[in-house]
Amino acid sequence: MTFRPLTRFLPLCLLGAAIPASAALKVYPDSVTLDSPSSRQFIIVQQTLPDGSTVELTTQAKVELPENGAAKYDAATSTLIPVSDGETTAVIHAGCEMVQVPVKVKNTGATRALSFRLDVEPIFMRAGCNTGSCHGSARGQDGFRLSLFGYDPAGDYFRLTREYVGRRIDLQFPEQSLMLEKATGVVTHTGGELLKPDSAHYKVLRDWIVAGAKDDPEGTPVAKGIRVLPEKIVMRADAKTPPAHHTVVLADYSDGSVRDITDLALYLTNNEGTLGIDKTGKVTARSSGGAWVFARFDKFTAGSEVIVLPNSQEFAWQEKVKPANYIDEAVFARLKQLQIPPSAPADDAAFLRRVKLDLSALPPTEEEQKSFSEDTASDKRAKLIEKLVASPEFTDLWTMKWGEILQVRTNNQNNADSGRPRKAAFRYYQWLRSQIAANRPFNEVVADLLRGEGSNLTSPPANYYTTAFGNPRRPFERAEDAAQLFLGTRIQCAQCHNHPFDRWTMDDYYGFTAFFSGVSSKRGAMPTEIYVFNNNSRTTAEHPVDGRQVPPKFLGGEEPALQGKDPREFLAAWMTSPDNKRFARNLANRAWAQFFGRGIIEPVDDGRISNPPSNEELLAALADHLVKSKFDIRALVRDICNSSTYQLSSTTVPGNESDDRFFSHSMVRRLQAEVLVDVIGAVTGAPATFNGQPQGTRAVQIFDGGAERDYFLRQFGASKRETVCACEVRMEPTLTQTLHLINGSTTDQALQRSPLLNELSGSELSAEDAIRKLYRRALGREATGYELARFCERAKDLDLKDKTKTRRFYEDVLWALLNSTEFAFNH
Amino acid sequence: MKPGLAVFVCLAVPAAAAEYAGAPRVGNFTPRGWHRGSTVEVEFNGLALKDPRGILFTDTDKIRVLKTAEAAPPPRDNNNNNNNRPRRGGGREGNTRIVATLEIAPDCPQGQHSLRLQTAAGLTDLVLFNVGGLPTVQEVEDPRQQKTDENGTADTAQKIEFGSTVNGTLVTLPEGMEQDWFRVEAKKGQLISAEAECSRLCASGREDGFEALLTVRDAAGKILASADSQPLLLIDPFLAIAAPEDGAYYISVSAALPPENNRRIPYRLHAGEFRRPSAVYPAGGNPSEKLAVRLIGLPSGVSDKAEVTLPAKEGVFAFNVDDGTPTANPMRVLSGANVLEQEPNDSQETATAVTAGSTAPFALNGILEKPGDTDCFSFGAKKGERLNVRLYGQALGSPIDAGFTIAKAGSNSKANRAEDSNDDALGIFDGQTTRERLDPAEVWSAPEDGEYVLTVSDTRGKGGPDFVYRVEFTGVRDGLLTTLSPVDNNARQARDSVTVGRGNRAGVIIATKPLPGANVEGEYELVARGLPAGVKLVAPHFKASDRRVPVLFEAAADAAVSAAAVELIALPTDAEKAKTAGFGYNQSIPLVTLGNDPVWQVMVDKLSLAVAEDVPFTITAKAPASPLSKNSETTVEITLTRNNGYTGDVVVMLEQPPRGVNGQQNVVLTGDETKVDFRLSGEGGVQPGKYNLSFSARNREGNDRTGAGRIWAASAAVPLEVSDPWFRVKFARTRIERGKSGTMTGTIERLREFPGRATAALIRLPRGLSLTEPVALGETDKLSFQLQASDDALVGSYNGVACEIVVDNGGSPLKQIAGYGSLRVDPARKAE
Repeated sequence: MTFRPLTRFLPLCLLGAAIPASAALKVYPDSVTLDSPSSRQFIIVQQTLPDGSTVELTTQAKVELPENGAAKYDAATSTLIPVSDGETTAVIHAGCEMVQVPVKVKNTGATRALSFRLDVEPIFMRAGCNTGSCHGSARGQDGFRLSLFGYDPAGDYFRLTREYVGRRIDLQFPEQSLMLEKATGVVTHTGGELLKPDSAHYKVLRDWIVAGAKDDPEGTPVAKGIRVLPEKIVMRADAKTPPAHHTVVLADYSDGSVRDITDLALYLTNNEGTLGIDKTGKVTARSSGGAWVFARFDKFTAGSEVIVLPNSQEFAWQEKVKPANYIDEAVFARLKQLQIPPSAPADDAAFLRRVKLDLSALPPTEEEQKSFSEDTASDKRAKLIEKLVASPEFTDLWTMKWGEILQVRTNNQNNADSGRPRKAAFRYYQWLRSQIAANRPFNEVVADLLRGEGSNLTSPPANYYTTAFGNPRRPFERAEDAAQLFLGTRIQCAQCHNHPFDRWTMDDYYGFTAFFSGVSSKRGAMPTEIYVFNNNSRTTAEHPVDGRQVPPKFLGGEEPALQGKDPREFLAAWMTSPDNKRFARNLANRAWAQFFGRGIIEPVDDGRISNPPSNEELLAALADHLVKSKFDIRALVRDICNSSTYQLSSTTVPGNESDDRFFSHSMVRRLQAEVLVDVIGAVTGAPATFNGQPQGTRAVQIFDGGAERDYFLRQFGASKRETVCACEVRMEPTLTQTLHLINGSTTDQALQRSPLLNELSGSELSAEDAIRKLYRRALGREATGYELARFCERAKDLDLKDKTKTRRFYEDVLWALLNSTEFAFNH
Repeated sequence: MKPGLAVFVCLAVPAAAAEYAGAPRVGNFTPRGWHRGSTVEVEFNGLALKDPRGILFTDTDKIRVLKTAEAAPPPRDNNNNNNNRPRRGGGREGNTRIVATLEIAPDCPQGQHSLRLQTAAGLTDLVLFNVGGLPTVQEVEDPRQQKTDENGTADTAQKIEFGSTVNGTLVTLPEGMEQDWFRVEAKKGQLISAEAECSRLCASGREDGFEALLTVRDAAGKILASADSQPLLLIDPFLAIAAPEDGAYYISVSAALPPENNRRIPYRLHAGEFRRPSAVYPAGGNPSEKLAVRLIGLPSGVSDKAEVTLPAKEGVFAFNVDDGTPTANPMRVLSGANVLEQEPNDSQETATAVTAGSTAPFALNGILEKPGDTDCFSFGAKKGERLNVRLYGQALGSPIDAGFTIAKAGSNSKANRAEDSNDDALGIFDGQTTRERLDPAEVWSAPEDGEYVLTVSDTRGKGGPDFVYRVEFTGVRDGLLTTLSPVDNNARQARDSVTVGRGNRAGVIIATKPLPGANVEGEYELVARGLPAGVKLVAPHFKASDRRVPVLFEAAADAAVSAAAVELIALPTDAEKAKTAGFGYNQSIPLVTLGNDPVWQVMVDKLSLAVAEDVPFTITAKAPASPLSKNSETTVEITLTRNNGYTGDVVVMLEQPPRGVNGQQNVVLTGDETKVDFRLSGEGGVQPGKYNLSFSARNREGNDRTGAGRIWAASAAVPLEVSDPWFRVKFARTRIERGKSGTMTGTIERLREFPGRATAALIRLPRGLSLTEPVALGETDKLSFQLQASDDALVGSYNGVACEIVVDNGGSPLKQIAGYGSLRVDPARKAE
């Protein structure tokens, strides 16, 4: 199917196309209530074109209201304004289409008093007064403090009106209130001029003071949520006149009212490269791709998806890649939507190397390359995946992967009070490995961890609670860790204020913290032993704002009835329940990231409203299958590896070069530190040895990580396992890494000790064959003609009988291959 | 070779030390143990193991030393370079060996016995020799030559008799630590017990967490059971199964986790039909009682009944269940009612009652059988009666972490709960043990006459069949415990015994501590019993509140070279009080520590003391001529006598100075130096009075941590008088220019009358400054000193210029530092 972009802004009816009116023209919001004389409603008119793209016709559209009706329309601001109580209908025409919007008008006779929480506080946020760099800082700014992003309105009201009587608010001469004079820059203000004296926001603040700067009466409605409209915008990129589109933001209140807060919300986007959004909520396309725009108001953040299609480029979905399973269906659907073509399938050699590195952290041997290329069975890839997923190397790799974020490490090993003894780390590792080896449903594994108790030496899951570095983790830190590890959510912000980019409030934070309030530890009979147990009488967490004791409450869920039991029992059950979508999504996303170098949500442990998945359907499908398979991680990995998406080539095609998040091609990923050193060992035949580990231990098998003890691992960003953050594994390249591969001991010693080079230099093989062999060993593929020619040229004077010189030559070849970019990356 | 020995490599010893080797130390020895009723030759390797004079066993007389002899240095060790490296400056010959022939009596108690080798130079550190009840065999692998694992599989397993002990070694090979497999034959239903003594052999270095793993497999190689450390033995494993079939079984010893470094770990594996309970119940009874006990933790089908005859002596008793049970279960002996819990006793109402009318001492015995279990006991108490209530749980090897409360019966008031104990409550010295601190103990007195209920529970809410405990109620006794104070907590073995040279002295500090709840006051003295002939203890009387008492041991010139375990007890000088006080000596020798915490230690109740043949130096100290006072200084003249041309450096130190008195640090007499004025200073906190000072001297060589190679001597006690100061001087700030003269003025305050005339001088002037002449103290309160600065006087500010006042005390001048002043020296001003 081919989409041809149509000339924008040209009414379709003029072209004679018959477009069903209901689908093509939409008005946001689709119904309006104006419930006070000051109520206004900004409206947006949007038209959907046949190629799926949308255009905004707000200014072109004609809005008609009955004369002398309940409301009128101000075309200059695209705003509906109340006139008198009653109901009416706005009829909106664009081209030959028409949409009717019901409008309800109430309370035009009443004068609603300005409210501190509803009218004044939002202006502080919009103007930036209560941000961390201004008065929202913990110490305030220039002697005046507001709660960060307004988490404590009562405190803000006190500080504004009571802390310095008669200065910040001047009831007699409202315009001379310091608050207004500072905000307008009349008196020196470090923050500069934030409000114009003729602005609507200034007027609200002044009128509130004029009215006596009163606190809100009991029962003042509170915001329950916000919506950004339209829910979806699809724009076609245009280099000359970048398309733009307005958004409207509505807030729903506890009394059922809806308010247009477009001019009070703050706007942001998660992809500046694709689009921009200004202070009025106007979105401008910059380049093709998918992104989200977000509005922030009160304690809420809400988003709307924006797709920018490639500029006037013909897009035809080539059916050269067949969907293999549900993964491909979701990925391809998204690609079609974004008009991004997928790359071609990877060839056997590329696939073999990729899947071996991904599933066993080892390169393919020459025998494996040979037998795989000679195998003509149509399901040979699936069979290989099956074999690798069942291998002990897979277990090693996944134990390492989870060991990193579960912080399986040794620290200050002789004292369990302030560290983790080696034995405890070893037991923890053994336990984790046995769970993964047995393919135990992973939700059960996590439940065991959350319920962990007993001796760190004899009850391994208890070590989930023994990550002590100097001091045992405090309950709120344990809560943060659990949310980040198992829900992929960072709630840290909400410790001190409501989360600015997510839904979490301080109440949520301390409710979740309360699950861990009773976690206690006690020294055992050995200095290396610590005993984890729960004090079931400690089940609340203190709210720092009002000192309230907050009982355990699931994050975004209910309060369990504890009945004297360990709250962690309830937490484990809730967390790992198939109904807890976020848990399954997080596991699925982490697994996905292992194979694509990035998650569908990236970073994998920072999912939030303002960081949505790049492909919601894909994540939902993966999570769904994970739940259906009873949290069988191996089954999920099998699905991923068998998908056509995973098996795409890393070579891009025109149209998907810049795609880094929709999986239109295989990602080129640097090998993780442990894998890289193991691969060097496997290729040269001279594996590295690690301090304190028996010979033959691969880096991925080091039970407590060992990053700090090994120069190579440290330099190449192996996880120190000090926090639960996935970011502890550092993949960014550094100069030191390059220099170490070139000059350092790792490559050098591996080459010096390499039995492969000894064998080659002592064999009857021609130089060309030897070079071919080295290519196969190091890069898992045949050397190209050009590559062979270049090396053979260098070898032409080589006397193969001179074993020393021959070895040195092959050493140089292998050195060059080990230092090639191709070697250090999975692609 | 234990890695701990590596530290010896860097010892530098001058040639003269060949003659005076200093304190001997055992590095390693083999075999680590043998069976009773046999004679065995034991080879000790170490440092300064020369001229052996015997072996001091401190806890048994059932091992007879038939012979000790010096042996040639150990053969080259192909597998351990450390062992072959030159050390002590004398090449491989620095490694010395003593071979001892030991005759172990058939009734020698099974288990660990502490010994120290005695040489002409003194005693070695304490090591443990293990006596077993089963015939001993040696592992076939030779750790010194081993390159591959020769008995690490079922096929290569070494066959041993079922019912024997193997002395073996685990060695780190390049591919990791090896495994040692042993094959035994057993009949269906037969009890297969295995226990390893490994970390407890204390051969792996004190700072080590090595743990052995025991595994039992059937003939097909299927794992039937495996275990690493168990609560009873803390760092070593044991296990037991009933053989499912007739046939072969494989018992293997391996590392519980990959060791961090290259290791060579000796072990003793006991495999046989002995019963090895994890606990016995009840864990105690009355002296000389024949007590029926239940054995806990045995496989089903094995009899859990045993009878034990308790000793006549109260206290701890080691009970080896069967002949062959390698390690004893600890039990307690106490006169008085021995009450066993009667379940259910989970509440006050169902509390097990101590027989009416029973008064302390009595003991309560119970088991927290399941998680969350609580046990209650009721007993009667009289108002004001002070009782030591001590729960023994961890101390008995139980996994329990108990806490208890004592409340008035029928009352709902919340009673204080005793959980972990501090050293005072347990009556131990600082850092002596780790494990027992989990046991609760408190001194309790009843607020009124009546019935009380003691409730025991686990602080973590745990429980199990072997959560055995015993609570002893005893009257509070007044008295002081004593121990040899460690010089340094990180080097507790450096001076854990006393060696005194013939015709010489040795000075040590004895620490004291009141028994739990004891009310000690008045004057005490230390009494030594069992000293070798010709040795006497010279110890000052001390106040009950003194926690550290310096003492001297003096050996007559004709005393025999000998060794003894000495009782050292603190008794009130009041003879009447002495009849009921004095509770002995209590020294902990840590053998395995983790961090700073001892994990495996030997508690000894006697001080090991040896008379050494000779010591190359003696010191004498002359009492200071003038008394010391606050902010003043005095000197003690130390004279060193070097014997037989000894020219090594000698370090002189003041041991345990009185509070507020500071001695000079690091006073070294080198080469042919024989005299030094040892400076003492009085700090602000010094109290007037008469004190004794004790000076020790040691050679420069030797190891600070282990004490190896050290030679010690001490001076006789030196009286020191501390008086109130006579004067106080305050100076005005002064400046002086290079090459010029100047005046430093001050005000003098006379604090008390002084005898005779006095002169004042400035001392500790910066380089290039000199005092024209001392100033005689006249009637006026002004002092004025004339100073001359040389052209190259050091420029800068000095705060430490001191005013020394010398009182002419009829020929023996008294000196006092009366104050300090500041002085600035400026560069010479340029000519105009």
